Amino acid sequence: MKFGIFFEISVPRPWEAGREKQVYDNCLEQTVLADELGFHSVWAVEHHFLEEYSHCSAPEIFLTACAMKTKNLRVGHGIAVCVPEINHPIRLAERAATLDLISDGRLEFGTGRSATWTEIGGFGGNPDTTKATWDEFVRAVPQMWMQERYAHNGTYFSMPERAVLPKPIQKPHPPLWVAVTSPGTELDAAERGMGALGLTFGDLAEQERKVKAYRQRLENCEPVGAFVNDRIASVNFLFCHEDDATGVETGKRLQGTFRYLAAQLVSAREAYASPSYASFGLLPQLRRAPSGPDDTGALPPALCIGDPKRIVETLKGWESTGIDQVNFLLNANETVPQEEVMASLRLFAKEVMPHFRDEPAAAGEAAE
Amino acid sequence: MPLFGSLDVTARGGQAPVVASLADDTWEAEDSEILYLIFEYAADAAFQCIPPALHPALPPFGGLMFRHHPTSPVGPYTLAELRVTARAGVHYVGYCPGGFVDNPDAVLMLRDRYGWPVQQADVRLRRRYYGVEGRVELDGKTVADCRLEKPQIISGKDVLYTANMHLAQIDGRPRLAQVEAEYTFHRAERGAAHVSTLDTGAFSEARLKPTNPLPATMTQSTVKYREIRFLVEPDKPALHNTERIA
Repeated sequence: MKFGIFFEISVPRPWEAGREKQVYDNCLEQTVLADELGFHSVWAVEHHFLEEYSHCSAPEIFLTACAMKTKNLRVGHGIAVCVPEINHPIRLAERAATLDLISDGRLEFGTGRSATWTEIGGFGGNPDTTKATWDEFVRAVPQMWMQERYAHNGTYFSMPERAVLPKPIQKPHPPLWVAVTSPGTELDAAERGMGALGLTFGDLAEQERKVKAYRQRLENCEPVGAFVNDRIASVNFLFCHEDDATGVETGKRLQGTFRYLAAQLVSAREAYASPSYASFGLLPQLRRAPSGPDDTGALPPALCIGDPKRIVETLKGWESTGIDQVNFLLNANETVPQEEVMASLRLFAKEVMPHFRDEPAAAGEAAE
Repeated sequence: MPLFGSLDVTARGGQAPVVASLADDTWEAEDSEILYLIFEYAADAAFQCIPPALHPALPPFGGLMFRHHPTSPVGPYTLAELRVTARAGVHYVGYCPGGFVDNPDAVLMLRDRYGWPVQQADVRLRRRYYGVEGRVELDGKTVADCRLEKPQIISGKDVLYTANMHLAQIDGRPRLAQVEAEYTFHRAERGAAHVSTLDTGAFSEARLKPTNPLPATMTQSTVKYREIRFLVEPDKPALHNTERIA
């Protein structure tokens, strides 16, 4: 099983001069360390207008910086928003290909459609059609990369024949993923031969069911790209400490802060009645309705917080579900001091990572 | 930490309903109809319109909700209320600065038992050939006139109503009462919202400025109002200042 780090880049108020830069610098420092410690990948979200929760609106630029400062980490869009009012598919293809070149072929291309009215409404998007636009984009972008010239006459965008440049260094193209938040999206991923980039904190039994369903559906998939990316990733929190009680306490504070921030967002479902958004989207496990204003909700199960022994046991549970990768959120609103985040990463690498085999590259990873 | 509201609850609390006997039982209204017109609000003013206990939604939004209950403990009534969506801790709520009810007995019940800040007025919710019309007339003046047009059937699962939060005088001081209801949907429609008139000042909050309208919904449902379970100190964060009373 592989391990990655996953950034929302949340910035606490007050937003005094230098605050955002400090958070970005912290994230880059964590990325460099993760590379040195043997982590597999770094992922960055694309979010807009999400005050405090995520100030990561230009992930391709942040990921370019990550690529320039690291040697081995794969760099992942987690995710690029496939809504025409937010991103034109040509621009997505161009920027991603450039990042693949700059990173020397380390791009993982994650896709999604946004789950908040804050974002979709902010760009004048239509929540009813985001699933359809995502579907059209993920079929077109790989063709833009693979064909010397590409033309498209579609429902949500059209273009005359043009050469979309540059082309990615990975051939035939970088691995494709889709963010999985709403129930059933893992099947959308499987049907299209895309990796399932889990962004929920589902319990182990639920994850096992998803993996099984994904693998079954994958057998009859019609890949939107030139190959099948058959990997499944999950997201988790990470805070590793020699003292278990300290690790659990800090980890709870981390996830509690994240949950609190997530609850402040306006989900698409909350503001805009649409069959397109059956769930609350963003990390719904964290957003289950509490019983009252004083309730923060139940602690999600199987979090990677505590001492190395506890985290090894937890990850063995995740490994048994059949997932290929776990991506870790390391901080939320800077609630964990940077030096503690760095120490947690070091301890994890030293005491936890050796317990997990490091198999050769998964079938889905494109050869250069 | 997320933003908090900045309403002066001491000043506003002086005008709030005085709760004589908090609702401690449930009642159900079959065949209820609810029209909800949703819009965003200008942000800075909206922050000033919710109590410091609550976090504003970002972007601030809310709307005008009409509730017609053919049955209730005091007979049929139709209510129109202004709402500002907010967060009590991590809990989604709709803060209600003011509203109107057409039945004087319902006015008493809602103020005395739920802290619902309503006055009596002529409130109408009517189906028209083009959709649904909601209208409030106060002393002969139209203070709300809105429509849902071109309705299309959707699933009740697509509709989300959140609990109300009312600033009221409870035990001699201002507190927030959370009013919860369960909805069993029988029919749901969505359509374009048109607001011809909305005097937010008449709804006790002239600072609220509706901006970006979203699709409106109209539902038929069985509504079950619960007993009041939570009281919140209005001037402190709800997460740590909530009393469970049931």
